[in-house]
Amino acid sequence: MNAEKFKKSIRNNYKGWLFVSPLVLGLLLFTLYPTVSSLIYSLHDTDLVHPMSNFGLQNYAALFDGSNASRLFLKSLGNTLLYAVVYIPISLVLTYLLALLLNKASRAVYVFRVIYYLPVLIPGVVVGLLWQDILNVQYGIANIILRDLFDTSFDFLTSDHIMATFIAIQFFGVGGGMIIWIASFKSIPQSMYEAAKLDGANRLQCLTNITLPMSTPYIFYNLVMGIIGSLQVFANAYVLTGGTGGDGDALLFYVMNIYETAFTQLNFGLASALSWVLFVIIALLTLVVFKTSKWVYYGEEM
Amino acid sequence: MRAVQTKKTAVIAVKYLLMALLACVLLFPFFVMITRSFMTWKEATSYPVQILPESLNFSSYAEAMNNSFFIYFKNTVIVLLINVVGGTLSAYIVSYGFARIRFKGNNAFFAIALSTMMLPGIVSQVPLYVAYSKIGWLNTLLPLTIPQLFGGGMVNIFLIRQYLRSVPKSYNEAAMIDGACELRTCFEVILPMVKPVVLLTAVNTFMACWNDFTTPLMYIDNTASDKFTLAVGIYYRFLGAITNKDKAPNVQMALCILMMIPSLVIFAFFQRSLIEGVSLTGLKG
Repeated sequence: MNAEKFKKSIRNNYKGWLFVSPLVLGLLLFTLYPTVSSLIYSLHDTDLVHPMSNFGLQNYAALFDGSNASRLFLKSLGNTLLYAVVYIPISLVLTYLLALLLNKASRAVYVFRVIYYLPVLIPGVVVGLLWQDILNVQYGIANIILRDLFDTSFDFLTSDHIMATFIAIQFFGVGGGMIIWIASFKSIPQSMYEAAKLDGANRLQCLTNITLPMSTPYIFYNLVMGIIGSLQVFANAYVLTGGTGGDGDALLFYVMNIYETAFTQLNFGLASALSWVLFVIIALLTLVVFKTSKWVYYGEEM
Repeated sequence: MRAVQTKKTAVIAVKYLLMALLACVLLFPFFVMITRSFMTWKEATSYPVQILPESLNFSSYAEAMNNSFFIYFKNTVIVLLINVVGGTLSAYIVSYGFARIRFKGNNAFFAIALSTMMLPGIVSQVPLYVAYSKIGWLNTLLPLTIPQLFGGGMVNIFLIRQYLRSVPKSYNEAAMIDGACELRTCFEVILPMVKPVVLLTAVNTFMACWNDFTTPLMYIDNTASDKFTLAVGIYYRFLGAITNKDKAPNVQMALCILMMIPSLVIFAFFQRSLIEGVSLTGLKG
């Protein structure tokens, strides 16, 4: 009887599992296996050449013991959090305002949308090369403009300025966020605005009572993605500093530090411990956002 | 009445002025890339700086397109073709399973798969490096292509699944009555209806793959320059730890331009769907 039931259950369900089987395999091979290995590495000393040794929490302890590794850990964590705290809110507000400005169906507006989106297409490695050239103190075009217009010069890449410079560079990607907002505006039923107009609402009231609440799912999505993305900044900063993290490690991001630890120092145990700490931070922040997501409006039927 | 009209016009004028100003700022990198790529080495490194080249000089492009450029280009195209075709196909099949077939564990598995997006890439990248080194995948194109064939990325699956769910169930039922098997229904009945989102996925995969710097940087080291993709090839040529770094800014900018051409062409073709079609049709999941 039980065997019969089992057979029937397989017959009813095998097709779906067959279709999703590539993902099952993919998650097992390229996510679950490495994730478990990473946890095991983080609890050992391991470097590829020698077999794993010394089971224990020493890699996690090393993050707080005042050694060079712990200095780099704290520095890169600080840099990354500073970046996230500055970049996420400003970019959310900026891209939202931009989308409001461009939320109109006209030819001219469309051309502006295209222009604003273009910098998103610049590959990370090109972004780094390009801005190194533009901001070069001797022959960079930025300093020439400063000198000719304001008669000053400015070194954008010193340890005091490089983080601000980097954040400014990242803002050239505003077009990417903007188009998600524009898509969100399009999903708001036009009838709502018509009804509001009949009731005598002005444009500001429409914005605060219809557009904003109706785009909260997208705000939520962009916020979560912003957190996950900002804490993992790598390519642009890596190229801009030639992989060094800049003078005084002022632009050493968390993932750059892991990369160095693993692939230059071949300290896979420590690198794995570092990545688990990052995972815990991301998971906690995401959890907080989810827990406080009462402001997200999912429509009447929910 | 007239005062109101003038005020309205003034507001619109200010709006457009602001928009134009921002457009100039955002186009500035392109201006620099283009002008400097047409300079000679002397012009590009002269002091005081020259803003415009004296004449259109293509020598930097000739210098940029050396033998290794074509090797990197070939590698990039191989990776691109496999990921765009294989990855997109794989993402579509998996999404179809999630959205159109009822089976036990469907929603639970989808939730688990989606939650892996929270896992930072670096957690798995470090052990994968060790695993790849054991099976001889380091310094080959395999780490850049094979993983993509298993589902093609959660973001893409999520997007296609959302779209597939908006297709009425009756299409599947009608196809079943006509005796079509699930695979035929998947490709001959449903696929034509969701072509826009599948195309969008392919374009997104193209862009991500073309620009990807991190994956090749991790799994291909600078002893295997014949396996470089363009992104790492350019990096190592100008910035990496190789001793004879090429510092010519005009050649750098020419390479930047060359590297942007394919993305710009794809963008020109699909700009409407890229700029307006990213509707996530409800993020309720």
